[in-house]
Amino acid sequence: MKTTIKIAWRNIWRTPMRSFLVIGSIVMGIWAGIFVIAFSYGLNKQRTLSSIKNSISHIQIHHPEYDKDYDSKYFLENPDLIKTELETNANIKAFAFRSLLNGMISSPVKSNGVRIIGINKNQEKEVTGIHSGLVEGNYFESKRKNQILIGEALSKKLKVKLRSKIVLTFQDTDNNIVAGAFRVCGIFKTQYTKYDEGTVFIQNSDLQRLIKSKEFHQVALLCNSLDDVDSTYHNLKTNLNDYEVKDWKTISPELAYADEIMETWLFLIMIIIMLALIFGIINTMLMAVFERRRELGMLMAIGMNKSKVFFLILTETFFLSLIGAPMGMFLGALTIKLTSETGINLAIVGEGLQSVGLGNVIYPVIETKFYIFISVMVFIFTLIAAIYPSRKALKLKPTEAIRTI
Amino acid sequence: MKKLIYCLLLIFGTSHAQDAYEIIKRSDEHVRGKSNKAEMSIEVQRPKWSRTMEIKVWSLGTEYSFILIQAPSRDKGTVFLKREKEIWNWQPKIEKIIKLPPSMMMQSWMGSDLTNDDLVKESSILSDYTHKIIGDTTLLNRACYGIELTPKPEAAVVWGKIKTFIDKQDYLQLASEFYDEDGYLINKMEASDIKYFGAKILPATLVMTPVEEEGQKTILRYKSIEYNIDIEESFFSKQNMKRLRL
Amino acid sequence: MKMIFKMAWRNIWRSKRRSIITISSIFFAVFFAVFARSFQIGVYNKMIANMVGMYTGYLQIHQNGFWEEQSIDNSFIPDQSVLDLLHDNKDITDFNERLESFALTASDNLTKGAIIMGVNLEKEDGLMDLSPKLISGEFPAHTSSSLLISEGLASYYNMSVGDSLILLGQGYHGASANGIFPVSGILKFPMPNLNDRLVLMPILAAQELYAAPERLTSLVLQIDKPEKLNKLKKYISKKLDLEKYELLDWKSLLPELVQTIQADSAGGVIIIGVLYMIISFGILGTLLMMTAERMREFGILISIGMRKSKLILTLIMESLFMGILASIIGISVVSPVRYYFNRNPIRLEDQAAESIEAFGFEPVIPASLDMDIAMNHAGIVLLIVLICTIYPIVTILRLKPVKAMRT
Repeated sequence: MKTTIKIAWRNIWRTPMRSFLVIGSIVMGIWAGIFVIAFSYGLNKQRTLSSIKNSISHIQIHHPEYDKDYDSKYFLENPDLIKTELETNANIKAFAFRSLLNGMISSPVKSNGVRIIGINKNQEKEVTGIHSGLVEGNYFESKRKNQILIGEALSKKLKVKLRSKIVLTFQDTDNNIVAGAFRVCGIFKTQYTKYDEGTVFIQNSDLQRLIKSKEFHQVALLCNSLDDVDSTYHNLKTNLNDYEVKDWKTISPELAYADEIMETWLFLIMIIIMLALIFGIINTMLMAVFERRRELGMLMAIGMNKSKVFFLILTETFFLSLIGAPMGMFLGALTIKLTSETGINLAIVGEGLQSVGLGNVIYPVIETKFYIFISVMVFIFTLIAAIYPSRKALKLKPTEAIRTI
Repeated sequence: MKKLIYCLLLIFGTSHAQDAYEIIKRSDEHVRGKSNKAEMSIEVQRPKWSRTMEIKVWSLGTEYSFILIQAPSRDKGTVFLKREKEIWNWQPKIEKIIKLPPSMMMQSWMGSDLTNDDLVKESSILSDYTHKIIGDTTLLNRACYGIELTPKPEAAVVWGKIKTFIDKQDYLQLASEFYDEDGYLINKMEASDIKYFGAKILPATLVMTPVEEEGQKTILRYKSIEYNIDIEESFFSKQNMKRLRL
Repeated sequence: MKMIFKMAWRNIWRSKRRSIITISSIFFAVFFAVFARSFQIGVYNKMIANMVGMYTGYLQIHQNGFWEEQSIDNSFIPDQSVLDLLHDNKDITDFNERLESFALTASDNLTKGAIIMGVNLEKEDGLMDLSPKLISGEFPAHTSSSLLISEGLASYYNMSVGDSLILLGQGYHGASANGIFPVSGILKFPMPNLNDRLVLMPILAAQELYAAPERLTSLVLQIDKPEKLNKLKKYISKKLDLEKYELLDWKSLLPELVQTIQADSAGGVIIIGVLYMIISFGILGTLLMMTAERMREFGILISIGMRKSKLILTLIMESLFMGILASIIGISVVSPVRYYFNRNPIRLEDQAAESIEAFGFEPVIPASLDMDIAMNHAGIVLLIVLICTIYPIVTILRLKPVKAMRT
């Protein structure tokens, strides 16, 4: 027994190339498993964060009827109450009050229906990313009144540019028609042309001056981190129960379950990768066994019994895995550490991507338990993979083996 | 000395501006009167088709008006009611009165080059602009004032400037040019066919042309106009929408 | 040259065991690469089918210029030749006539803008799967002027079957479009943007409403084999008068979908890349071992006078043969497997499934049957095989015959 182990150990070092191949496969397998899992979770997280940052935020507050019919008459009563509540909650990083109206935008040549979003520029900056999505102009920097941000697609439709004048028409709470002239101070572009065509941003102060009342329809807020959302959400639901409070999972359930959806997918891919790995190892080891048939035949001829030969090859594999596994884990961990800081820019793979903000860069992330899980799995599979070649070795006829060329 | 020149300039400058404003005001009032009733046709021309509507209009000042469509038969009996800033619509087929939302305001009125909004915001020409005389021209063999209107900074109008030409004798608005802020001419209005409607002299034909579009025009032809008819604000009611006679 | 062929071929079969191992490693590479990619593409195709089936269809014919400016004035009356063309083509299972426009809907004191679709309701049922969406009432007859309204509209007006809805809009060539219509049924659409503001009416009634007799804004083609889309599109473009008409596929009709898939695809490519790393390593390993095993053989051949270049060429030829053979076997084996997973896709579970069903989509991961995938990846694998062959080539170049013979 002990001898077999000793022989196994020495055999590994005797044929570096063969050993390198097997160790290499194991390292690759573990590294691949770790990377693919981390990458997939990172991808999902990216999408969630991107959506939260660019559109839905962590939590939104509305008038309870607002969802049924996005009518501007459903504004938030007593906004100061909400403000105080939000300011006193330590988990909340930033909030933004918004007014939302439907109206028309006109230029000398064309008119279009638009969604008008009245923002507080300082608040909004902390909560969403529109200020960084400008392709031209600036984000309400001028002290002038009546500045407006429009989408690039809309600017093309209306045939206007920076500093052009446009007229916004909408209804105030008494259903009177109100109109105001605005100047384009900035042009934004998101990945959704329809959104760019149909959405404009103006400052709350300008809007409220025109409709002669201080109305807000929505508050969007960000917590300090994603983990704080649940508790904050429940807090606000209790304290602000006259309003409709929704968290990002309620607003976009497909994001909430993105992880679960992905896990089925991941499972499938991991099986494929593992199978590819196993067959790769089987093949390599088969080759190795036949390459060594003279040596193995010799061993059997001098008296080593068949089960010992079987055990020998298995032990060799065991040692190779023992060497390979930690290397694989180390390499995997190193890759994750590096990429989780610098991120992987998807632009290297997809030339057509034109996302704004976070969309392009993925930060792989993985729970520690996976390291162990993957390594153990690869370890076991490698041993299983070694069984077939080992059995083949037993079928060698010692006398023939010695005589081969 | 400086002070004197400054004062003189102020007097002449101001009086010029006042003149321009006065001219436009007179022109506007001449056309409007306190109340009027008119019958006209509106021809919409497009590159591939054209359509003519016959309508009857009642109006009281700038706040109230009725538009009744007499032809074509498809639209016969349709009524638009304007009360201050709101527009209402009645269709004989539907038999219900509908208030048009602001989103409809910017859309073209009955397919023409006029928008619903044009029907509502007639008075803004005085209050939303500053006026300046820029020189004289001759149109239709009449001497005219050329007046340039510049939108006031907060005015909710899309134009960069408007040039309008008003005849010196009868204060008829004979032409207007609408420019965007880059100085491109976007719309043009030209009047012609000056004749007497009762005691008032007016152009019977108005042509509205969006300059940058090929083959597009809207032509208004007045058949009859009566001024200062006996109607009151109560006439312009929703109930009356159903009762208007063709 | 012929000799090299012969030698390469014989070498392969000389050592069956070795060749089988090599071929099988390439085979597995092709199998797994195609298998994985088929699922990725399968999911995208499913996404496309879902989105396309909701409203736009895969292919639409309009009057030239309609997509840029979607007004009713850009409607058309299709020539009989176009209709015949569509009728005769077996890949087109049906084509739906639509007259679509906007209108202001009104009732009592409320108004709301809506999309009006004048359609052939039976055909539209086939494309948009309307029957299961009908939550009350029934479909209007082809000749009637009753409406189907979306659930969002119904609740906005607090309307039920039998109530009437007013439509006001702009008709063809400036005519006005207005009327009051009874509601015969209510449809519930999972997507809120449709559910909030959609009205379906029999196309004859719509044409009457918009003063556009016999006119259409689009012809939507129904296709049962999406894989044939590109070919079909090319075929139709050749026969269609492109001055008069425009032919648009779902990529032009749903650009956001294209962007979403592209964004997603980038991540998928990286994962396939990792898979390739593993299978390349497997192939490399096999070739490495094969080289080591044949060192003696190479040494002998060189020392008896074979030129190294010939030997190298032979080796490349062997790799090619084995690669091609393996690819053929790989594609043959993977195809029935793909077929199975195409008919029996992997299902998602529980809440994950629910969140997808909420959109009206099936929560499945199917495999694509696209032959292009098989060809492309077999090609890539062949390329990898050739690249890996560089190792044995370099070894031969560096070979010292005497030393080699002594292995």
